[in-house]
Amino acid sequence: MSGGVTSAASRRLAQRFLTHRLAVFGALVVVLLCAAALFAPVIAPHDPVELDTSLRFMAPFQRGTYPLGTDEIGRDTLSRLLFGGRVSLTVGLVAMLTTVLTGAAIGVVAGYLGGWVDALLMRFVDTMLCFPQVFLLLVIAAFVPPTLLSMSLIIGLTSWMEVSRIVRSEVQHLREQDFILAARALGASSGRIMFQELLPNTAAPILVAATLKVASAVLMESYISYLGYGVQPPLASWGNMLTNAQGYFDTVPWLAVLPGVLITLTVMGFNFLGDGLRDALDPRLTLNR
Amino acid sequence: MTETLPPTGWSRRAVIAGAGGLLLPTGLATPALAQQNADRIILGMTQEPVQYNPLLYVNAGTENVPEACLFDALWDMDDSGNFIPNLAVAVPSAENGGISGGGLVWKIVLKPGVTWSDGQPFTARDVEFTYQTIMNPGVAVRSRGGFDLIKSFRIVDDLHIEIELSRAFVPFLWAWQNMHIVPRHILAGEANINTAAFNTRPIGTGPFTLRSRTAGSHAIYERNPNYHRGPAKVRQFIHKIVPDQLVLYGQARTGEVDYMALAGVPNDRWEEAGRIADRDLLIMNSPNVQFIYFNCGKPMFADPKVRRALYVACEMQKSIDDVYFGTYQRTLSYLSPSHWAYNSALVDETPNPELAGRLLDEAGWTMGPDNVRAKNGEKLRFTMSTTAGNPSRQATQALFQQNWKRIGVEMEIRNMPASVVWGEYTTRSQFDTLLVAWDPTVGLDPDYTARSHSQQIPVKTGLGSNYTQYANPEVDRLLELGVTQTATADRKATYARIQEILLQEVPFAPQGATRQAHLKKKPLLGPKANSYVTDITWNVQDWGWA
Repeated sequence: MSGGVTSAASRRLAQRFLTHRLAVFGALVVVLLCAAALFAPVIAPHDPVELDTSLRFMAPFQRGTYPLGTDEIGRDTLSRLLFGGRVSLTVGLVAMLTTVLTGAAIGVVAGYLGGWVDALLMRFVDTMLCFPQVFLLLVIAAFVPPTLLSMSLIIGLTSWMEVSRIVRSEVQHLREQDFILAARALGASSGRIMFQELLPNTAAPILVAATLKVASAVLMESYISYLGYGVQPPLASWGNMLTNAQGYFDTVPWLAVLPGVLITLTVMGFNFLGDGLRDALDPRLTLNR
Repeated sequence: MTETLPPTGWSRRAVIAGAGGLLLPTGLATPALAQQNADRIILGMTQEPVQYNPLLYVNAGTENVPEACLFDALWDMDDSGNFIPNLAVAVPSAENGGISGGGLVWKIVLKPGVTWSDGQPFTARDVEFTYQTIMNPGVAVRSRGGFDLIKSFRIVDDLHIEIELSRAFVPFLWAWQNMHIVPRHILAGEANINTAAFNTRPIGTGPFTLRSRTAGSHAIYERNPNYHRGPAKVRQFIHKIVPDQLVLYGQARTGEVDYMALAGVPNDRWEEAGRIADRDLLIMNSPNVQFIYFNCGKPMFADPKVRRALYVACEMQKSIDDVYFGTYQRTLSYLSPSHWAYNSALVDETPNPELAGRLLDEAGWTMGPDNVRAKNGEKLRFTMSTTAGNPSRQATQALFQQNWKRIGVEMEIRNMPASVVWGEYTTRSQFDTLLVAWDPTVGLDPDYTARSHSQQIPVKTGLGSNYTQYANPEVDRLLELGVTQTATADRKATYARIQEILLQEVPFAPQGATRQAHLKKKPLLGPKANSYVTDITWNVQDWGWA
């Protein structure tokens, strides 16, 4: 392929994406949140673990130095949200990538090769699905020392099964299509057919699943942190900020609302982004918005 | 399937509205449970008893409830710190001739006419069987303290017992108070008492009998009409389990439970709970003291100066005021300040970061360029663990972490689930430091042998609960002396000295004596704070409605 064709294709892709208003909004939100987390040390007005118990439970907008108030032991909420975003977004993104890569690879191989390979892989998926995810997480986490990366990988490696199922069924349907028959007739290897022909055509469902996985990974992190295998206090993550706030929900609601809003924004942002990407990438879809 | 569908012509909305209308009169609108029943008391707690055998349970506080409802001890402890007779006619003492031979010979007379709830008579054989079960190496009893000193156990007749001890042991009364009597006629034939059916379907001499138990939800007890101290005041006693503390608090406010006990009203809600019109807020002093445990077996903590430095650097009072909303009571020893043996001459040195810095300098830990102290190339850096998911403890840890950072000490929080952190991690002394709340081990006697004698380090000697691996010959000597002294003034002096040494050498740094606030309906009479026991149902037979 020549460079001209590629740039034309990506221009068309960008064009299709940019006309999708929600997608652009989603992308903006994601970029903003990631930038805020990335530049947390510069933006944050305080050290996120510095506490002053005489200033606890300060409401937002009361004092300039604590724009979003303080938590139950007097730590700056804004700083904790910014630094917590680093943890939550890292976990969300890394876990999502792990999920998608593992799930898609297994799904494509199982769907395309079929036969005993398919049977074996799908029984493995069944086995993994038999265990409740939180249980599985805790068992693995008990053996692996908790770091940000290990936690993200563990979450990813225990939640790829749905993706593999979706991809497999999509591939089973696609492999009978003419373009695959054509590729086979041209003598393309199985590897090439699976990863260069089939995989790009399953991008749409994978993207949708991926955006949803970001959200569930952010929440999953808070579960395992609550049970003692995740982010250790006093480090902040949106999940553990939410958990810590539950005891004060009726008296000091903003402590739960603020991380809650950020988790919602993240999930929404990624969903819209995924929606837009799917529409932009799907060659069969005609754009009508 | 089709017959459950609404007939054609009804809109979905109309069906839902109709169904809602039908549900209203059935009690969804008015909380039926909130109505008070004069024949029944509902006690709410956050933890569930699993072991109903009074010799085997480990979760005191929670499993004290079935124990108090179903069983009796020879004597109990009342709320003013006095032993009162229960299955025994009198509490043995030198004055009534119950204790003789320099504290070695104990004579116990049992109450006549007491029966088990299945109608069988209670006799001295049951007491002997209880003792034998406690000492049976195949039975996983929670403590053998005191019973291991029994040299001979003689049954004179059905109601008279004579016990001889190998050496005087003043807390022997506590040992019996702590162990309720189990029925010989049911358990003697059991091959393995640890797994006996009795442990879930118990028979006792207590004020109630167990009618039913729904795991994860509640247990229902019925009055024992033949109870030897007179029948209980209510027909039914329900022990309800609500795992979430806030939800339980909500139920106590609405009246769904009559009495909210363990884990008590959340610390930040005491003020609000105290203002509820028809409720009483009972402040319960508990025998538990919260400590920082230092593992003296690790080279870093072997020097008492380091431990003392870390202790004095902590803002202890502030941690109580700000994290526990002032609900804990500052203490400087392993005893609560209200305990008769508490050494009130102890002086609180915290917080004193200058002194802490000086002590660390003296101990050879000098400040490095990265603001972390080091000695021989090793940094003063360690972990602190406690149960994960406990916000107050996490906040306490965060405060201490900040206090220590200022004197050049780096602490990393590494919390774990309860079953992990209090398992071998604690009992095999694998931790650096712990944040933990514990009570004395022999009832409320000031004896602290199990937690501070050098022969009680489980990782070295295979028994005891001296998890800090603290060893001091002078403390050993005083602990051995204390359990043989009969005059209260002598004991007070001995334990005062022990507390003084412990505060100088700090194997465990005391933070505060924990307290709980319980919420009960005003007309419910009977529940009374008793700081000498972990059991809030210690007088459950007297509970009733005004």
